[in-house]
Amino acid sequence: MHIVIIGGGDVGYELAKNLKHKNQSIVVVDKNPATVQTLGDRLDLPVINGNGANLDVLQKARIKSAQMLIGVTESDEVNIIACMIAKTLGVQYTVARVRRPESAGSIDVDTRGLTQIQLGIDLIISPEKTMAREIAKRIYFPDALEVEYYAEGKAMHMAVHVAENAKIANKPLHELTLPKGCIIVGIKRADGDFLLPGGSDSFSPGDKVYLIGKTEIMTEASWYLHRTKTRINRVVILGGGDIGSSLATLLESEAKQSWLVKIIEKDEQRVDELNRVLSRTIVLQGDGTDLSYFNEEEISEADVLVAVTGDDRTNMVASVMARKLGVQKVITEVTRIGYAPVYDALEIAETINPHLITASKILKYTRWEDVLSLSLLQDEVAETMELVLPDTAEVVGKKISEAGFPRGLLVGTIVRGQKVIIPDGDTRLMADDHLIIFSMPKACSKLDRYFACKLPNH
Amino acid sequence: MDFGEHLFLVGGAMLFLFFLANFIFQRFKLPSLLAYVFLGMALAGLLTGSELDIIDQISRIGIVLLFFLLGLHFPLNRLVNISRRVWKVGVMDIGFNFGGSFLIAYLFGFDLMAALIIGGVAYATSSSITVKMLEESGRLKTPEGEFKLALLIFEDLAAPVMVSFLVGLSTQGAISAGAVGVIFLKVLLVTVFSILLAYQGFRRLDVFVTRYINRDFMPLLAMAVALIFAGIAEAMDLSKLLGAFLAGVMLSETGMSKDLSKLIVPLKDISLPFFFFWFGTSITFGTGVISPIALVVLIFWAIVAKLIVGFWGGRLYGLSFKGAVRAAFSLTPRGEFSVVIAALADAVLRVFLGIYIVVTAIIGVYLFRKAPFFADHLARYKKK
Repeated sequence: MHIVIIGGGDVGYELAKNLKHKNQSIVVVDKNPATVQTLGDRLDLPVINGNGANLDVLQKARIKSAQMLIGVTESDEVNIIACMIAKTLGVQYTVARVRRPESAGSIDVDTRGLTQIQLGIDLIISPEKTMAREIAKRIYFPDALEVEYYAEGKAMHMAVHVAENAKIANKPLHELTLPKGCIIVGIKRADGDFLLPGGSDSFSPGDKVYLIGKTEIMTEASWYLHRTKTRINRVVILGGGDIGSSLATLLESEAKQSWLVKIIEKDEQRVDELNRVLSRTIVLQGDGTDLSYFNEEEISEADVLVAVTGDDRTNMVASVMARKLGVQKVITEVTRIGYAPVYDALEIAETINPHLITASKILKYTRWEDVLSLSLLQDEVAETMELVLPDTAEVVGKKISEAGFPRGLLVGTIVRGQKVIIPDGDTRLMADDHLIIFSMPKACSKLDRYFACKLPNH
Repeated sequence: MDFGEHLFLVGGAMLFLFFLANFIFQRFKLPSLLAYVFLGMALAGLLTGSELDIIDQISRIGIVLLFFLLGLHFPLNRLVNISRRVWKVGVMDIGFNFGGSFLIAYLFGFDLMAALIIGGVAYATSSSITVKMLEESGRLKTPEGEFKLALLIFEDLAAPVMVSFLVGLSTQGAISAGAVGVIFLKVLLVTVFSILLAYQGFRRLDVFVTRYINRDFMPLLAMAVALIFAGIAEAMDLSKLLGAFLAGVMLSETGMSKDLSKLIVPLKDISLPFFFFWFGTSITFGTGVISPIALVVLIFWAIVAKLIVGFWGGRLYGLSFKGAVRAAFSLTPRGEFSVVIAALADAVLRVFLGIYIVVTAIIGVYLFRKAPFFADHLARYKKK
């Protein structure tokens, strides 16, 4: 498939890199000559210098033969116009990142009367809203490092750290009995090595363990490995921007929970705006990194601090401060992927990157029509995805042990109707099964061979 | 001295006195409102009834504008948000302050009516003193600032009901459920009417207000809205402060609160001192205080009950430990509402209540200023 990516920033780079691994034909367009140079060198791909909303530039990128255009520049307008032009020229799939989605239609947001057909965009991604949903999940499951739902919430994958006092540490996996209904699919060692575990492998304290299974037993499974149960009463959000306000709205809508949510926002006018929009959240005016006056006392009593000011350095300082004040869970927005080592050094464990989240949302779209959900793991070492097995798939009717899946590909969970199944070698795959698959990058390119899913328009 | 003939001279002299007293108090780092109260107490004897009437009228404008400005910072959503959290604290406030003080007074041998009046005087924290102190100390936008304002609004909603209850009792010796029901209905009616007007009317005025905010007719509009709604509330026997506050809430829906505030603040700064001055003149002193021990106990309880409500209620509301301590130490001053209730008492009890109000106001202002200090120390002690 020929894909044109407009914008070579962090998201564009991430997409181009991933799609190239999957043997797609990629052209990137960026208006910054320096970015063009760097991308060309790093990815060994055709990168065109120019405005992505310009017809001539798009033609240079062979837009007419493209099946997909992805607009991920910093400018909403360029992304939208590029999609509109592409649609007019017959490109089948268009994806735009739109930071202010109120100006364009989308499933997730208020369409204000405009349909996506009118806009010529098939998928609109608002990184801020997506981020907010991601953070909300982590607040629902505070002891998990990563969480993703599948099959309408029936199944999920989760990553947790193995605690020092976990009884299971240093024992081989085949000796362990995890709660029924979940499976360990990956282990990331403290030194950065990643492995798909076998029966003889064991955990060490500090390892990051990836589990897939039934949603209702995951909290218990997490306790088994992590040995802590964090109780959340007070959530403090630093930064009342789009992410902060979307998150507060999401948390407010959770009727079962009685969290006390506070937003600390610097800008007085924004505080007034938030007070007009939010109905349960306490909105405070203050500088998130100012240790004086009430910030310190607000943050020190928080169970969760979410630092989403939009500025990496401010987030970093606030997160360190929160750690020092003993906040149990600190979730930090990081916009620069390159800062990761600094965060590790500062022991800021839970970071969340809008670019990776946006990229994984878009990547799902570049796959098969049957892929319902896909998420890149934070460490970019593997992906999990949910797909529906079509009746034409080669593996339908076969036992998993007979399917001949390559190493690096694991069917973690099967959702069949209302039933959630943790498969073993004897489980037969059936048409219309929702499969939650855990896969290493090398195995990703071979997925279509086994599941016979077709690329869009192929 | 005839106010009518020498309006400029007397008016100018008063403003100059206000300026001087305020300046001196600020030099000594004392709250300026106490300067006005003391001036009022000192000059009460020199002013005639008609002069006091004029001062009373100006003072009403001052207090109405203070609450209008406050309302500008409370868009409807925020109001709904805080009212959801504050009502329990409000009920607790009635129980501890009205109920507790009533019980103490009754146990000290006051008759039922006198004890009820004492309970009413002890109930409400002075909105004007609290808001002015919050403004002066720069603590209006703190978390506990919001909590205190929420509680004051609750008191302003409950106070008219309480006044009518007590007036009914003191004049007729009985109160009909119907009369209290009518007041409840009125409060509800005014609030619902304001909400509807805010959503249907003022929210659509944003383009107009943004366009003309710098024109000379805008202060007229803002003042008109403030006074009309205060007037409507007053005409319905409700608190004019509630009316003014709701007017501010409605105008805040235009999204131009900050600019609208700028138009009104100078007017408020000139008229508000008259309010505290009037408050000073309205306090009755005399000889022969009945039951000084009861007075001391009631004043002690006035501080303790508000400490409990402020701290416990503040924690319930969602304040941090320090925020709740600051709130607890900021609710003591009793003021204008207490004066209104005290007016229902007989002359002897009025002297007793006059002292009660002045002492709680002065101690309250002191505690208010020291609240951050107490909060820091208690937090440090708690950590240890």
